[in-house]
Amino acid sequence: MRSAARERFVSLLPLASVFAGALLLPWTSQATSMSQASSMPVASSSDNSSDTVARAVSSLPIDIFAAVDLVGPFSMDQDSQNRWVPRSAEFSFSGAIDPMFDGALVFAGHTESDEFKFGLHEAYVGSTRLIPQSRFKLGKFLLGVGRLNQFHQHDWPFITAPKVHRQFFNAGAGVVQAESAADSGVEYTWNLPTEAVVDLTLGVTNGYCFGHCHTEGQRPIHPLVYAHPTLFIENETSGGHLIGATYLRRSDSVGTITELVGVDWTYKFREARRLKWLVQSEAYLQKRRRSGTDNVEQAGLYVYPQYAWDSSWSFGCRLDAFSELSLKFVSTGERRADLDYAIVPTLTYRSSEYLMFRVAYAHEVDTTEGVGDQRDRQFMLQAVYIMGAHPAHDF
Amino acid sequence: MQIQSLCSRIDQARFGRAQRMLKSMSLVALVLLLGVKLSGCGSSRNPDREAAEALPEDQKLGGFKFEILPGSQLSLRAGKLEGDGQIRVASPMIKVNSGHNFYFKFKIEDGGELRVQTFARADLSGGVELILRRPAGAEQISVALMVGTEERDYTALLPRFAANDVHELWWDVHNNDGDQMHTVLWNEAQGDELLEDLVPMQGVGVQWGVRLRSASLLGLDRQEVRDRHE
Amino acid sequence: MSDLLSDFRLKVLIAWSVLAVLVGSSRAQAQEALRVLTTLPEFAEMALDLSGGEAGFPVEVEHLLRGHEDPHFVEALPSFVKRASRADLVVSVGLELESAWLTKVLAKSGRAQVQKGGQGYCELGAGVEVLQKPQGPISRAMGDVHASGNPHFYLSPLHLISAAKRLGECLTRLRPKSAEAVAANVSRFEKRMLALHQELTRKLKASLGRGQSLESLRFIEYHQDFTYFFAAYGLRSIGAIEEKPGVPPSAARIAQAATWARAEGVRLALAATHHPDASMSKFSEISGIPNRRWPVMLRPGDEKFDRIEKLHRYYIEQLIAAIQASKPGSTNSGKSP
Repeated sequence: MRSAARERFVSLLPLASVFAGALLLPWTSQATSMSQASSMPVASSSDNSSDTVARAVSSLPIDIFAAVDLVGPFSMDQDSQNRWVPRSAEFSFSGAIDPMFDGALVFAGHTESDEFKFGLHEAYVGSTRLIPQSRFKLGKFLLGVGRLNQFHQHDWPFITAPKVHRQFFNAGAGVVQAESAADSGVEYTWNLPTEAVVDLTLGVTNGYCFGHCHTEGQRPIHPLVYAHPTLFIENETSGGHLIGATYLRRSDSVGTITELVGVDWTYKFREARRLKWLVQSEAYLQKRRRSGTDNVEQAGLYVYPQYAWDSSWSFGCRLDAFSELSLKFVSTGERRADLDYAIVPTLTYRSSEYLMFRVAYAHEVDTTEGVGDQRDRQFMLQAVYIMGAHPAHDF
Repeated sequence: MQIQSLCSRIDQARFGRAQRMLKSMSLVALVLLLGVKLSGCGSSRNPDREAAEALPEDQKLGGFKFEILPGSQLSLRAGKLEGDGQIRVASPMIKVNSGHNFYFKFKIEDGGELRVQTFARADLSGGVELILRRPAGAEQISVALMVGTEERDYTALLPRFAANDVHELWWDVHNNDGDQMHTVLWNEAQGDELLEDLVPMQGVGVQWGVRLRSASLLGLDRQEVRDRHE
Repeated sequence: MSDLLSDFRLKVLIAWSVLAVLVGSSRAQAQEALRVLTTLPEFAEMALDLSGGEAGFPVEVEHLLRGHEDPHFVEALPSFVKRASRADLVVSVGLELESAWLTKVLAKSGRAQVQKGGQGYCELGAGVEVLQKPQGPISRAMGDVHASGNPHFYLSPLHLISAAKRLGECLTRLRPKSAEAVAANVSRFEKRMLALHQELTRKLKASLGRGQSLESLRFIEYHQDFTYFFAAYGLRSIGAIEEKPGVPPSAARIAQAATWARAEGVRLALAATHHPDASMSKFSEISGIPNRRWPVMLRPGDEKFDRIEKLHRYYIEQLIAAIQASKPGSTNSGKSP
């Protein structure tokens, strides 16, 4: 027990030292400037204006919105789940708690196995003002790794998650329900003092349950740790390339160690309201090992290019691939080829920033050497609407 | 004093190189993907199936051939396997991280036991194991799940399994639900869900089999999971 | 004795060194450039103007937008976040023009003083007389309505004077010793804008025919970007081709607007360069009224539009050309470059 505790402490030392270093930065000057600011109020833009309902709403200290995601999967091969469902209904509250700290609270309900279940998705306190060039959050939140995992389902550029995301971030969830991985802990992001636009995100979370969790899970041997550095390269118009790398390490209660490494790339080319080009891509390699068993190695990627011919209509086509690299024939121990792939063309219509309709066709094929291909073809319809003040989107 | 325009900050040469590099990477990824698809996955070669085909044709239950493990005293007559011993089904799962539904039809004699082992190693250890037991003189069969080295008993939660009857059970084992193993058990042909639980362990292999002690196995099957929880 | 002396000399040396460092560093602080980050390029020009001359404090000015964007719809780029993280003063239009992206940029910057309410946050819209403030309840059914009024005041030289005064207050807050000099610069900027306004008004009036007045000229806009510009020169826009602000017009709406504009005797249809060319072409085709697509911000790097005077002279020259070249209902549908 002692050695396990020591081992856990040692493994957390590098992260703790980074946090300590950040906290020792001269943030008192920030506090000073904030106190000066509080004694020198800035005239608001609503001086001399009578109260209207809109101004009252715009002066609310928090953003409140509801986002509803309706999905209708219609499989040509397995029709047991063919029906319209409210995939999720999300209620979000976010904003400043006081001059130093911000908070967020997100409740969401999902349809799962014919039941609509509500749960807490995110609840965290953080600050973008306390530590210079930095922001942090403490609580439960979507893990700041990869690209897709940092967004809620209703903000995704396609309807369902690619297989690599389902397998590595939400294993166990069905194709329609798979969402982003969230956990409770602390995350810190540092905007590096370099000429290049580089951010470094580090996180430590409980790791009791990762992925699709029906219960609170079990205490792992080590907490979950991750790092996600990013580099942004701007282009001539309002857009650019955002390139990231991910390292995530977690364990379970029986000593299984899972390590995930990956890269993500997002490219945007915007012309006014029209996001003319979006290209989003992620690739991951995961290794899972437990003593007394063979290691399991899996890899996957997706690429999603999307073109918009005006501010309302866009078309994209996602290519997914996933493979269990360590698969072997049991009788001979030889490597067994395995590739699951999918092609998902997707058409999107945006009535406004707050309402969107989408139709997609997913053609998924699972191929494994020595067995026949398994195919799943389905059409999907989606409607997403947002009521209230949705916070501005990240790049 | 000077305006530092955004335009002047952009290193056009660097941007152009980065853009070309990223375009190339995505093209390479696409080509590799297609290449892998074209290169080998269409092969029908399957050494595991060949190994199964080498077994005696009549050593089969529910369409699945099986191997009788050493130290067993089992007999197979008219589709009924009985005695004391262990079999390993000669159709392993393809992937450890997968889910299946296992069907078995059985009868347990007084004092006997039946264990269904799934996602196990070659020696059927390290897997997800369901234990059905008829204690001597009992009127009901008890049901338990091996969780690590401990048995988790579910008998009190389940309807009475009359000790002397033939029973059919469908058992979902989701060995791909994150870090836990999700299991659901249905009885008979009525489709009543008997129990659903998560246990903090996962099967470590792809083999499955049955251990009998004063019991008989009358039916065996493996299908896709019934509870898809979409 | 020599040891004591040497020890004393050492102490003196250390004391002087510390003093020199302190004085030197405080001087360095006093001379440190004020880092100003503006959303629009015109505000960058204003910031340079107001901090120069007698005020003469070092300033580094950057602007986030380059002039071809729609300021309502801009990505919150990580590079914007980086620039904000280094800024001492962020200058924006306000009036909810940049609310879709600037809030996120400032929030992620980790720079406390440029957050809303901070010493380094400056909304110029708070200092101008705002036009087209909506009355009554507002909902999304009305389109993208700016609840605080039309934010495009930066296209009027007269409103830029108010904005400059506001910017002067913000600069003075951070450089109080330069208050008087900044005020003098504001006064100089005011004269510059008044001179520009007078020059362009003269030119416009000179281009009119006998019996014509500025008030008699009619225009229509795709979106009400030019409200303040029209107000500054006494011109009149009959409204917008968009039925609701921010909602692209349907074919039926374009036809309706074309008929309406023709009936009103509109001389010219105006749109920003980021508005869809297809809609304007269709409008001109149906109505016979020519259209022009103008930049609505300065474009540093483009010699034609890199100064406030140049942009406004361009507008007036284009108006004059259109007035003289086209009559009401003509089929001339030339477009802006």
